[in-house]
Amino acid sequence: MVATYPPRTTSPLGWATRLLACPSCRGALRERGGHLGCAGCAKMYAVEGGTPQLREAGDARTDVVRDFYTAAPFPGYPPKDSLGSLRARAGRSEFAKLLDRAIPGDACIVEVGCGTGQMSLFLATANRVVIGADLTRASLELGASAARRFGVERVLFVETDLRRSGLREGAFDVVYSSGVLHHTPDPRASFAALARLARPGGIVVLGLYNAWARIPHRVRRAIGRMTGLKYIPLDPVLRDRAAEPARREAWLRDQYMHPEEHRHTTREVQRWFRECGIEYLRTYPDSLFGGEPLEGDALFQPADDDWAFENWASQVGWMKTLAHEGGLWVTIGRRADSTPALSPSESIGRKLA
Amino acid sequence: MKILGISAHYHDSAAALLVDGMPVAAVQEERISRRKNDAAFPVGAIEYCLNQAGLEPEELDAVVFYEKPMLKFERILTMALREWPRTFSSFPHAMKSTLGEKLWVKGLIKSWLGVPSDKILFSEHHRSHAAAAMLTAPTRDAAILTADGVGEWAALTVGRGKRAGAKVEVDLLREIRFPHSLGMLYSTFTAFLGFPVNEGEYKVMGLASYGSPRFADRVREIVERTEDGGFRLDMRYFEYHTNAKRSFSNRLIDVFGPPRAPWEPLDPTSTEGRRFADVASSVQHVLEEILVEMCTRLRKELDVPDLCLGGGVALNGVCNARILRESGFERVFVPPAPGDAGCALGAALLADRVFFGNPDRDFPDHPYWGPALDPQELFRVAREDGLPAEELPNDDVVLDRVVRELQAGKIVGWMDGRTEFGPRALGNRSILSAPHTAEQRDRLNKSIKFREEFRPFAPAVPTEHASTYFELPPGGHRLGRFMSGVFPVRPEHRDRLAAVTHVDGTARLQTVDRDVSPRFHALLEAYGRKSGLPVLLNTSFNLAGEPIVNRAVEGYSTFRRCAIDMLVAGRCVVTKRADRTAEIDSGAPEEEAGLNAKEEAAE
Repeated sequence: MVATYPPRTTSPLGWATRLLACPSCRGALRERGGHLGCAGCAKMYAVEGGTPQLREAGDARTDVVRDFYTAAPFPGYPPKDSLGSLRARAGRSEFAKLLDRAIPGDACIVEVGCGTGQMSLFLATANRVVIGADLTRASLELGASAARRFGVERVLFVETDLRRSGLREGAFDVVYSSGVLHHTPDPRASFAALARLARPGGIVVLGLYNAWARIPHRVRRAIGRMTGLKYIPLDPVLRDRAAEPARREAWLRDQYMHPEEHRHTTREVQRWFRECGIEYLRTYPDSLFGGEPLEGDALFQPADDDWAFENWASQVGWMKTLAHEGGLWVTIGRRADSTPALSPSESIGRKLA
Repeated sequence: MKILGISAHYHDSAAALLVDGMPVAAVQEERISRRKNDAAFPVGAIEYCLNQAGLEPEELDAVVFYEKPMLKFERILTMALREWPRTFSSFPHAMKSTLGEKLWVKGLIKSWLGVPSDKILFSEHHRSHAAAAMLTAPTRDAAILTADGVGEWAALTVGRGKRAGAKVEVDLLREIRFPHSLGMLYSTFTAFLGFPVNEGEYKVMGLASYGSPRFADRVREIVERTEDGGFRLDMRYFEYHTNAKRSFSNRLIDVFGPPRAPWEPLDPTSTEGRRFADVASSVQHVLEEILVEMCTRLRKELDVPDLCLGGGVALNGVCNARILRESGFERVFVPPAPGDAGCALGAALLADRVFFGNPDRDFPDHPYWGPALDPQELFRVAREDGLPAEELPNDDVVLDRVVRELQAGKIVGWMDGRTEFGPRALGNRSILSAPHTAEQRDRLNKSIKFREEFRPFAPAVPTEHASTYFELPPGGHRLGRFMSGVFPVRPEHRDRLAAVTHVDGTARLQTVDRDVSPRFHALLEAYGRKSGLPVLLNTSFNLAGEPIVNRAVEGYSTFRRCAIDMLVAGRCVVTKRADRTAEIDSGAPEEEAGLNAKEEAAE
């Protein structure tokens, strides 16, 4: 008789504890009777429905964002969803395909701000392990239940706050965060926390609203707000979803009613990268003029050029090409092999702590 | 004589080389360029073919292109004018795409290969299909039926091939012209069901088994049979002849309901999913009906026992099996590459045997004409990448190891010898697994192939054992040689062949001959000795959206990007190391430890 293959992991927390850390003292966590206990400060953290709750009390602005997403987890799952259709939807995005192609088959990945976890599930193939981290329990529950339904074993959802995160610093091959940092109170500080999660040589993939590409949307939104969101001109996503009220409402909330929103430029993000010892690789879409379409694992290769004027002009061009979906662009960088010196303010802060 | 056959520009381009009437090399461009369904001029494939024979382009006696671009252009122009003004929006697109390089093939060949114009020949699309089917099959006198989307004008032809001593004839007797095309009918429904055209047709066939043909009458209204045994499509239901973006019209939607969006989940147990499954089943049913009837007439008309099937429609294994069972032909031959790629070989054969009248030769009956594997390459790459690669002393040890892993439920990437010519992995570039449980199928689907649940996996079985496990009609073994037929699994074995048995109890099996692929055959036998069942699940070695691997490095890259547990190339074996997370130190990060130490020192 043929032996059945043993499941790859008996408990998802087994492998994942090594990728987590105590949010208050950064100590190692151990699994103790259904809880996670810190080896350093002996704090205990609950694990509800397989989702560890590694969160300390946050600030008021963060809580507003959490409440916003608790009321309506974004983007949610359509009824009768399957792993196949999730992959088919992701396959429509050239970026998702390139990302999947560029990430090695045995990478440790963290998605910061995973929402309901579609990208985490999409990336959790081969021998990869994925941690999907988010503030909002309601979203994570949807993600975790989808993971169970689809039989995706190598993903763990964690409830945590980026600024005091329960994620192990320097442990991840790929740190992915898209459409998240611009909803945090201080995106620059959030990025510093994000960058520390990558191992030396690890990749950071950061998607943010572009200050230029978002202009058309802001005009749209201004008009919309004047009419109490009754009349919103020229939003192609709303138009596409006219027949699906739930999905239309989700987009409306996310794009028109969000309590916290910032916008950024390529220059600004490149500065953040420098400050955190992240070597800039490229943007997606390409900020070069007439660049060849990316192929194979090119997404994590350095761009041929990085010229400030070209970057600026591309951003202006994105007003046309990216604005219809909210003006999100992605910057990719690699953490330098040697850890950068801590900035003076940071090391003082740590001493005080 | 040295003759190079080329097919290019529509779906999958390919090149094939004949030297003195015998094939030397044939490969699809996608395997070399690594772009799925690459339709570009097959420079890489041509280069490989010439290198394989050690030839320079100027040493070629002839270069044969598989179809006549000018005739095709004539068809496109005629259709555009005939349907004017509805073709208004698609016309510029059609012109741009045709007037580019597709029309100037002679110049293209001259500029790439530097051969003079008088050495460049053009075959006809369906004649190339017919030759690819007939001249590669072990038959002397056979009826031929080819069907695909469209060639120049013809979309379906019937003919006869004879190999009598020195004289070879491949004649087409009748044809049905565009836009009346079974290939386009099937593709239109492929698009309607939300699958990609030219590669999603398999999915329609898989989905059809979940439904019942309750719309068959409505499909029959769309495909009207004519008195001469042909058919005519009611073009009010279609738009592929006038519209570049959509192939079906609103009228079709009125009849069958709204089409499926590609990203929508498809669950054949839900009401909506049931409708799509029934549509698939109805189209499949009508396609089978028409082809079986045509073949039956052909059998009576020509009174020969053999039938050769060509064209993309010949990839429909369910239909092929029905033709074999019901049409009265004793043997049915489908080449390993019946589609447009195979036309490169067909055109070269046609030029050699018919145009130049060279002596007839028996064509070696196997599909392994692509680049050979270099196991050392795998050895090097794996070493550089830091994975343990072993070179095992002999084949027995390799087979023993592989069988052990397969028995433990592991998934094995198996590379051996030369790449297959055609769309199917037939044991030289395959992913193998135990065929016993549905869980194993789900694991393959979830972690490697990402196929829809309704698509079955195929089994491979030694020819001599095939009838033990599968209900094969006479001639079924032959159809299974290149996975061209779908046959029932014997009910008593269905439980233990759950991973390869489709919902309707059938399987698209490959029968493996000791003479054709001795090593794969030995592996199946060895597995049979250990498990009592000499059957393995055999699926193509590629990830979704990528072409089948060719070189060992591509196999290695695929192995690293999915959950294949073990990779075998010849006698070189690579396995994955334990979980990466185990390498992460679970104690406090070093950076902080260092910081604390410094602070303590300062105090």
